[in-house]
Amino acid sequence: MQALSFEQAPPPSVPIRFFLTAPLFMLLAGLLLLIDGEAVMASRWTPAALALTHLMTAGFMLQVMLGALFQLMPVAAGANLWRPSVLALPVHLLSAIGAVLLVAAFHHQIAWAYQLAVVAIGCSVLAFVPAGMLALSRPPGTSHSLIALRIALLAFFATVLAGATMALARAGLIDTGWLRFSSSHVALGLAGWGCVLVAAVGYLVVPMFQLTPAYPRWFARSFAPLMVLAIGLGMVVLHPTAWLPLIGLVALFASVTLDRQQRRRRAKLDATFRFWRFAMGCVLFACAGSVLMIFNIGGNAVALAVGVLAILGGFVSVISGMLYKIVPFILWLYLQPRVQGVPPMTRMLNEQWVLWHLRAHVAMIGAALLATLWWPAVYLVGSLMVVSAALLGGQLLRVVGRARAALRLAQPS
Amino acid sequence: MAVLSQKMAAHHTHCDGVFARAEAAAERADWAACALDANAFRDDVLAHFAVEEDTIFPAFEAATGMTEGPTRVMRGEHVQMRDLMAALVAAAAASDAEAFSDAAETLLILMQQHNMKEENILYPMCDQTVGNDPVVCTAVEGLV
Repeated sequence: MQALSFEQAPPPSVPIRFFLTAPLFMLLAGLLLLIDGEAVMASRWTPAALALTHLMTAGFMLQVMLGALFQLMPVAAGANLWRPSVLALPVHLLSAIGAVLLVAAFHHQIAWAYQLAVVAIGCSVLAFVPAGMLALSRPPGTSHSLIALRIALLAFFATVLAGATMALARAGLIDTGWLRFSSSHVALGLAGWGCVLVAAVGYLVVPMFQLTPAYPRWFARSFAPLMVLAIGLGMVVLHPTAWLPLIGLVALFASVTLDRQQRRRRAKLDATFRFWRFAMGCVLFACAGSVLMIFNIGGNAVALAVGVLAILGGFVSVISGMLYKIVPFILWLYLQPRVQGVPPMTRMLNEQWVLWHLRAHVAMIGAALLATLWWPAVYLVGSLMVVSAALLGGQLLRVVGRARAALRLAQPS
Repeated sequence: MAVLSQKMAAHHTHCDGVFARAEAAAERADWAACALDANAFRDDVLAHFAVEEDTIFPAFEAATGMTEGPTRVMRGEHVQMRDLMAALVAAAAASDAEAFSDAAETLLILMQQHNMKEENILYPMCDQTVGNDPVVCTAVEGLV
């Protein structure tokens, strides 16, 4: 019988290095908005808008998603990565450096930066994805989360492949005809990799954090495989309406999640729950906006609003809520057997500041939607994003600082 | 075959419900109800631990020879949960909202990830190895 693996969580430094890097990308995104906001709001295809989008996706989101997978795969799915401490170093450095290079390439149209970004992110993916797939192939179970994790990881690989092709086309190395993959790249990245990963995590943590009923079996069993089919349909059929089933599936995920949360048994509404609920609301509006885009209604403002709602409203909200729960818990779980008098999770954070982050975050989304119609509001968005990044990063550093202090007290030098 | 899994998971859900009642009482500062539910929660969880530690885990370890594997991890987390439940009950008795929240937040997430590992991995293994053991069946049936 296979030995059980769930005691083999990686050392806390493995996921936390990714989590601490992420707010730096949000800070850069806020500064970019303050410096170059008008260009960002002019069109989603301007160099500044592409740079901003990739600061949030290839920078902020990717860092947290990789860190979360290092932690989640062994703990929740029994999928042990090979030497996570060794693997995390190149994956972390190459993905972070690659994201910075990619953003610089977009913003200043630098051919060599595109090429170096492809090499760095490509090497990071080639180190992580095969190791991840190998780990995910071992557990005997067929849990819904396990299947969704496998699909998400393959979609991650395909996202980077499509993105690398387009980056090389922008660098002038291959034909610019490859740029037609942009819709597929967005669908693979946000839906196949991002949304399916959120679903894989959601199946576990939504019931766990708020004591809700589990996701319905029919939904959890079929959601990730149907997402694959819907993305495939959109990529193969060259008509915008072919993306409608994918949009419908994403809206269904958000609706089912909100329904689960509505049936929660916990009376206490914490910041993580509020971030999740806000995210799912934003995702529903993003889906409605996507339908308008498909039928060419609303023009540039709707296209920008969909990006705001999906990336900032959906992913960044879920990620922020999760970090506030997961980082203190990882450190508490690590310290508790080793150190006397570990502070409770709730004392590692300052809950008032977490609520201020939630308020700043919601205000930022509101300001960003306003900026799609009246661009000068972008400076408010940039300011609120800088504030959000500082609050998130500050709280995460505070948690790590408390954990280090507890360790120092236990091991006087 | 999966009776053990189902019964033990159902008892997790039952304990979650009592926890939620205690926390809801604390939220509305009804400390008498909170103390009653916190005590009931602790007693139910301790009864659950007793069935696992006294019957299921020893039977599993004897059947598989795995004494340093999953059951050791589960026993370790039981110790952590016992400490947090003691803090929870003490906070309810003292009508201390902050201390209650501190214990409840950490206990909830620890308990939920513990239950997830048992329900997804350990219980299915126990179903296969000791699910038909009459002593185990009797102990599991005794949990209400």
